[in-house]
Amino acid sequence: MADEHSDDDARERFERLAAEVVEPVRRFLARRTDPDTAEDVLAETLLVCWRRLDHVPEHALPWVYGVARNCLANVQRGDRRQVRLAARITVVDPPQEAEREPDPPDPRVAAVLAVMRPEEADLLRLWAWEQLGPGEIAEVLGITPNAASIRLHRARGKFLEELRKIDDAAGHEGVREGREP
Amino acid sequence: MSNSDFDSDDDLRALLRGGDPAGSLSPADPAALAILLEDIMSADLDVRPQSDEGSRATGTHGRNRLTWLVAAAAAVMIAGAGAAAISGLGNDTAPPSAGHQTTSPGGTELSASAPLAGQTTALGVADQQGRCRAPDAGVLSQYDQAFLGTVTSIEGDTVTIDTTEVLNGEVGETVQVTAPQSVFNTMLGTVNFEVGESYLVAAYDGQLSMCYSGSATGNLRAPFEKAFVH
Repeated sequence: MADEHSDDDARERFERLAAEVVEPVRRFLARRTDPDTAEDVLAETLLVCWRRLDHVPEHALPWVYGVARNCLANVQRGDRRQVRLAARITVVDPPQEAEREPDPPDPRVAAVLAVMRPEEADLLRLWAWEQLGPGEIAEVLGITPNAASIRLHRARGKFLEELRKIDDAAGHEGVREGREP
Repeated sequence: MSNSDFDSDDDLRALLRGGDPAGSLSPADPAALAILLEDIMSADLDVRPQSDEGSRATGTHGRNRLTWLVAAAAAVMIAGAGAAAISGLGNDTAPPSAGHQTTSPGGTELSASAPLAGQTTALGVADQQGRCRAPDAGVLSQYDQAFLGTVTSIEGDTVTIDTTEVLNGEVGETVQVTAPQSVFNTMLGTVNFEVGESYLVAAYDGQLSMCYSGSATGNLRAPFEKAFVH
């Protein structure tokens, strides 16, 4: 009886958690990997959330991003088991919706992120795309908030430096929107 | 230097957001998502040790796609058919008591509970593909068994460990790690098990991780603390 209740309670908590995190985590993954892998890693992330439901903090999202990031890192290590997962989960997947033409993202952003050190690029993505503050970034990355602040500051400087190089090379003026010549 | 173009972080953030590849991602199909969530919750009855009671009695009810998917994942990690993962824990064993503080060999306090008295936990070994990366607490925290213990013997294809403290999950006071010879040898070389020495060990689904098991005084200390001290 008690078990049934606690099971129901766990299911309810998990469903509430999923409702809160699924879309942000899907975007998180879409920014970092291909659609198939994203679906795969989403499922694995949710599985970890379910199994570790009692460990999920109240402000869950940074923690869940941390889980997703680790699951994705496992995939990107070329772990064979992930290949299996990907192969299976497509069965669960809904058919892909008709391809949509996304608004083309500013190509310079991808170009700059690509030349930055991966850890720095990751910090910027968490800050700008996931819109996390240093404290939350720290939680995702398993570092201290202070370290997150410092590295974020450095990463922003690095981004601008690289952006300037690209713009200089292209004779591009676009970055300077809103600035006096 | 002149970050003068972007005196405001908001400007830079806006620029970066303009490069967000998920800007136009459409929401998940709610029906498919509901199926996935249900799969996860049902599948877990078969893989979550503490849910043993009752759930196994329901037979194959929970054995849906994700169950098999999880099983398939585990099977790949099992280094050979012989290394079946058996948790030697009975259904009637109490969960680990609430954490108490203990001091481990390196002197730092870890939040831990006692091993299950009289129980032996059998672990297989997850075959490691490729090189281990630097240990990461976030990854480590996903392992469902973690403990500190001292190796008491290495014989044939079995390492026997006396559990000193349990850091995560349920672990008996004795742990036996068994694997086919080739994997076993790789494990000895990777983890550097030696009789009389203390080790931090992490396992997932009954499979010891070579990347996340090693000397209690080595570079795994910090990630273990971060992952399991709450």
